[in-house]
Amino acid sequence: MVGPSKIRERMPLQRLGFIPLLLSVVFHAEVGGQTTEAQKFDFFETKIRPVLVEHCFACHAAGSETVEANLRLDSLQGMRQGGDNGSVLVNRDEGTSLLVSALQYDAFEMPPSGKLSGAIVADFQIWIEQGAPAPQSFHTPASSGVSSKQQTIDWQQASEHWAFQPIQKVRFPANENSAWSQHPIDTLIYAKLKTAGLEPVDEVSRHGLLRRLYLNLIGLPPTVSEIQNFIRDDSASAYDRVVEQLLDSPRYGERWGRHWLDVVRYADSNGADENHPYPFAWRYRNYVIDAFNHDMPFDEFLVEQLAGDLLLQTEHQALNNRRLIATSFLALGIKIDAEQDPEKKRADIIDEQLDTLGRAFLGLTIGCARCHDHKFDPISTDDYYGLSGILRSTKLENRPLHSAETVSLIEELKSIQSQIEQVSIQELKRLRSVAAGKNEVYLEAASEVRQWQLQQAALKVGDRLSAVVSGDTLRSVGKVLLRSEFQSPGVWLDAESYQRGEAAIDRDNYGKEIGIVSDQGGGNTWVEFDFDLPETGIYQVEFRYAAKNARPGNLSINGRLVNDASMARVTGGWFPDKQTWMVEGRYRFQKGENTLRFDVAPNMSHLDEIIVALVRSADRPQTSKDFGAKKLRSPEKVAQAFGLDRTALLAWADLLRSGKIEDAPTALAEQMVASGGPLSNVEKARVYFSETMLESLEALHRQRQARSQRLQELNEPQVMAVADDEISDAAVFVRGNHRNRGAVVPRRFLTIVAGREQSSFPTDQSGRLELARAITDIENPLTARVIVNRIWRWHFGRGIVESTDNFGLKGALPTHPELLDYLAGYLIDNDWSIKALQRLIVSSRIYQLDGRATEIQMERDPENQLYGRWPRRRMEAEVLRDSLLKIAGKLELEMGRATVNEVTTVNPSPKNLEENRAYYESSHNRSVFLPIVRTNVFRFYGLFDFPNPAAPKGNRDSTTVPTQSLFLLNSRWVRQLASQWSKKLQSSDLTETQRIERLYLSGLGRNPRTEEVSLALDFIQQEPDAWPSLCHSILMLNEFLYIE
Amino acid sequence: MLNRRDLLNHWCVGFGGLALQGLLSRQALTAAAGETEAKPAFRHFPARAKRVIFLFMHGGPSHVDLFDPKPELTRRNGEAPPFQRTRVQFAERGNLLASPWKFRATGKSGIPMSELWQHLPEVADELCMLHSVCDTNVAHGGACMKLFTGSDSKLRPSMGSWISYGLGSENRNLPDFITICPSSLHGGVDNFGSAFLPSIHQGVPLGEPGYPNSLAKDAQFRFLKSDFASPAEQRRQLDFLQKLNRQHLASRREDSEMAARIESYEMAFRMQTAAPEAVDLASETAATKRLYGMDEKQTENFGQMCLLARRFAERDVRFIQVSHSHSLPFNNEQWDQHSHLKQGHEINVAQIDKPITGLIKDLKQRGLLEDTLVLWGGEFGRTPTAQAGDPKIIGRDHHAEGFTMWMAGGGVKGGFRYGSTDEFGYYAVKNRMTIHDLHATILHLLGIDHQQLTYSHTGRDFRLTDVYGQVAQDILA
Repeated sequence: MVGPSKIRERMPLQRLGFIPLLLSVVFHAEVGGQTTEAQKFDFFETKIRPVLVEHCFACHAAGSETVEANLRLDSLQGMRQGGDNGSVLVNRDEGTSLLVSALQYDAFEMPPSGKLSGAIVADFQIWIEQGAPAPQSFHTPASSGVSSKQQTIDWQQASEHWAFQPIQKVRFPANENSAWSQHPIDTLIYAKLKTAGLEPVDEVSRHGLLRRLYLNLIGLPPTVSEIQNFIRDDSASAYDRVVEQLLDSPRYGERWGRHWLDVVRYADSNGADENHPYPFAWRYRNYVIDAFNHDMPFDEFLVEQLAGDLLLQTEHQALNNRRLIATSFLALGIKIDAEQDPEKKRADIIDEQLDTLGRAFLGLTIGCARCHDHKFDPISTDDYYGLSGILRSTKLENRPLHSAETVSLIEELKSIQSQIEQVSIQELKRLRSVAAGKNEVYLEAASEVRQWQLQQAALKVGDRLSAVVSGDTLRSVGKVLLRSEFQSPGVWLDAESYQRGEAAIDRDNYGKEIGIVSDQGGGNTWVEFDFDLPETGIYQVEFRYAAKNARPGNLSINGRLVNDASMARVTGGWFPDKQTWMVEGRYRFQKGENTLRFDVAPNMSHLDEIIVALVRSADRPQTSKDFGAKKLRSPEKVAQAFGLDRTALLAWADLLRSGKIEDAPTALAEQMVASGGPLSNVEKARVYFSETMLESLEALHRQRQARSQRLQELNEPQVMAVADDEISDAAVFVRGNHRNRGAVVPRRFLTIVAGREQSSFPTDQSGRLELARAITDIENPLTARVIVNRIWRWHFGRGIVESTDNFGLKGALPTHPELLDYLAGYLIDNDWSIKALQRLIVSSRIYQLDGRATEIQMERDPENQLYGRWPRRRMEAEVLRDSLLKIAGKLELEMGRATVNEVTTVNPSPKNLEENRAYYESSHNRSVFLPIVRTNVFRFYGLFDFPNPAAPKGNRDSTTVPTQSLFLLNSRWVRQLASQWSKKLQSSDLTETQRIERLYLSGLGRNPRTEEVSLALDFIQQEPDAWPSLCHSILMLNEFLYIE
Repeated sequence: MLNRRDLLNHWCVGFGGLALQGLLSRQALTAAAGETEAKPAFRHFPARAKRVIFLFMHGGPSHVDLFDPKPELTRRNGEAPPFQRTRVQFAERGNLLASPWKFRATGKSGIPMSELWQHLPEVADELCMLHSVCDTNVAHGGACMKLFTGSDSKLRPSMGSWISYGLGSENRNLPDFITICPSSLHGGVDNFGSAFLPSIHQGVPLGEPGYPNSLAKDAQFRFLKSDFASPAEQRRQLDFLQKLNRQHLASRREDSEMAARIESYEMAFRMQTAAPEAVDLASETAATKRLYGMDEKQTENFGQMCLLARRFAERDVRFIQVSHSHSLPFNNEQWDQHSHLKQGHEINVAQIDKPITGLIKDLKQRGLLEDTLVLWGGEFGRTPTAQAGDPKIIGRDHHAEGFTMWMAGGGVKGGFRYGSTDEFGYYAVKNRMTIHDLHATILHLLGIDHQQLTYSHTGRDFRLTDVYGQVAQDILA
């Protein structure tokens, strides 16, 4: 397809002058029939605007680089005014619009890239016949080139929204009730209750409190002995001690890290259409758990997730690795892998990243500003694309985690590389000085060499091969097949036979029956081939491959990059029938072992075979009679005869080949080193290097290769991460359409938070670090409020702001704004310590209340908005599963690793799903370590409201549906755990009554009442072997399922 | 800030009242909770259809070989297409390729069908051909997501979920949205997921979603039976459990959620007998089974799915999806004939022709067709141009710019052709119908204004049709 730049090239500019000017426009003001205004705009929006955007705006809109024929088609006004040839809407004389005529390839041929379908032309005809109805926004051109904005943001008014106001210093209300004035949270909560004429209920029983604290802080119920110890300990500090003990437990991070994983839509597969596994995602999961366990300051935690890779320091390798892992945050989202439009794919990924970071960190729905200014919140399209530029300057890639050894290997590699460069530069300098020494003589000698070369060219194996020799450079040579040279010494390799690499071998699909090598769907792809050659010399490298789109990569020979646009051509398709032999270039290889490497990121053409063949015929005439009459001297002989350096002479000959022969020799010598000249840089000059020089370079290459190989052997662990890409600001995509570029917006943070005057973002970095610092700046009131609200939500089941992920104008208002600000301030004052905040929360009396409402509470505050009692709620899926496992004595507590490899993610069959389920059900790891396969989340999780990991979810649902009951009743897995629990109870040397007491204590955290004991005794006597059924029943009780 | 709809949903969950996830017995529950039946919240016009059966042809059936004859392709077979090809293509597109099949006019209305169809002509006058469906994604994943959810880049609720949400339930024993033997490919579960809509609206699969898909004869709902306790034992266990639960509740004053969970156990117990009845074909006559081709090997599986669809329709399930979605020896997806067009399409039509014809006849004879909208189609069509050079195995690529789907019953004109593609079958030309237009039209037939069927999520009112969609008024009977 022809891109926009091509379209401009092909604009038949000169034709425009011959077209008679068209007259002014007549609009059919009336619109008859039943078509309503709204429907007509629909027609415009669906049939007209997209075509204009896709086919016309590249040259005829405010955003075009040059507006062709002075015609702008981005507003009715522009169409009416027309360009050099007058209005394009209607020609009064003929009744035909110039626009339609051009589309019909009549008056003009537009778009020049090819005639559009009859359907589209017909749509335009209808539209113009109807009087070109379009919404107001399309009537006049937008000033910035961005499509006109439907509404403008009232920044002043927006800044008055509570969430954008600075965090307030809280004034505590006077409180005469001393029991409720000891603790800042109690004081603030009590004041509101008082105002409503309510009193809090009493505190919960100590048994209840302990179970609540355990389930809430570590997600596991207390054991019988833990309960007994706590009940026995009547000291005043007993509770605080348990709190500390739980906060210090590794189980704490597993519980609270999981909360954060909800917010960052953590999953172990990419979801959506193809669902490839994310084999390294677990490192991020474990990073989050560690961060919570170590109470990493929350601001630092955020900075690392956005920009950890920009904070690397050579001396702290473990810290560097941690920070790299943190950036998985940006890479973990859903991606539509098979999207065929790479621009759309990139835009969608960035949108996903922005949407996530907005909701997760700031409680703002930034994603809403992709197509237009946010309808409710003060987030402009320019804000969106200002942020988008930061992520557009960032790429996703798997990166290695270095150890001390690999770091030193990498340092050595760097030093060898610099030696190579140094040696090369010295040689270049030498060549330059000899080549510039005797200009006249070199010129004369080079002319003779050119004669010889031209004659050689004519003698080559065919016209096309001669193009190789006389072409502009030695490498870009197009479709050439060296058939006659197959007899040359060399190797012919099957692509799949590579020695090392990370590339996918496909024998089923694109490589049906023949086998090809291509990328694995993401990350870097590389392959290395080792082979022996019989002699040192220039060899021609040819690849046979298929490519529908250009996927250029790096070709390296013996560790040296020789072509950074290799395998770059398009052959017409991905399938074997489109495979073509392509010459990649001619390069020097050595006698003995050689290594050829190809690497590309991320996608690779479909490579089938490789030929490396010695090029003899290009250097040497075959027989004397092939020359014709005139016998010419070879370059060696010429150099000898004139007493010149042979390599410098060849450079001169190449210079002559570029067509500058009429210039004076002195000017020619300058051309030698000028941009593009044969000696302009090391890369170009390398072909002239002397044998000895090349040998010493090769020695260095060998050293480099040895280290690279060692690095390879060390097989460094990988992590999903990001890195800075080419740094640039992003253009607005008008109406979210990536085919319609508007004005470029400088990278920046949100206007409503950071103001209009922001210091500009660095030109040598993406700006993620600046963004992260802006987000965690204590002047930004959102970040601290959003996280303390989340923490509150995870303790109490409801946020002070109920919409935890949306603090915008459509979000909920805080029920206790002073409390929210107090907690936010407390967090910042305590160096962003989450544990400090939680100590504060769980030490309040409010946290320790009973769950049973009083009558007056039910009447005045049925929803418990005022926290007059404990808000009882159902266990989350993971807590339920972990509790079942723990009670059954099956829970294993080591840290989980790359478990996604244990399950099938891509195209699972029913059998695979069955195997996945069996895997999940047989696992005894804590729930947080089970792999999260998008679209096929462990069924048990799905039933109990595990969030869809497509988007941040700070506020999990808690549904009550009969499928949960069906599962609990009929699942073999639940029953087996109940049986195991029952075995444990039965194996102890106790009476049935004592067993029932243990059952209650370990299952429900309390002792049974007398009548409960007798009910249970009755039940087990009803039928033989009723204990498993009894245990199973306890696990289904409301009292078990709810955190009271 | 909850809108009325949110409140209703919260309330549903809280009291276990109106619409519940998965298999459930609403009537029993509402009766128990003492609530009255809810009226659908979204009913903007008189409904022409009460339910939808979507016969999904996974992989992309070729419109120019099945329903949209193009003599120009025959005339110019092998020539380069004389028009601009689409910017984004899946594979490189070859030259024009004539259909290997002849077409004939069928029924009184003269709907053209290729000679592949042996049975469908019998119901030609019930069909409303949509010849101008267009503007979807060109890869399976994107196109499936677009067809099922309206978006090829974001996770959004599927149309069945929107319909469940929009209409509420008429059925008391089954879910509103059932998908029979769905695929796990190309969006998989998300193609019948509820995304941000309450999970009560997600599609319930009959049979595990998979690749290959479950066979109809193996398809079961999940967790409907205990394999370790007899019903009597389970009843005793439940009595004990519920006694303790009720004591617990009594000590706690009003707690609607706890009460709902107590009731949900009872309901679960009852459902264990109610739901299997719907999928039990024992009461169907041999004649009926023959009508669906269940007596022949090649139509047995799809015939059974179609018969199950009819049984769900009879029980007022709102959205029933039947997937024709297996692999063929030479193509990964059923209808995805990049190569072996001739063989593949012959097999595929042979598998569905009789079952689909039988379904339409059966719905009609039972008076169900008038308020059941049957929709047939794939995620895209196939190119009028060739793929896979070898003439023996020639095929066609994915085609998103103009292809055919059809509807029947449910208030659409029978024996009617809507829209058209150009003379090559490449671009939809007349009455272009985007996927958003298709969704808008389906909702309209169900009595719902697609612009008013909204759900508030992250502060925005979302629609199935996003900001697009026009109802194809011309097809309304």
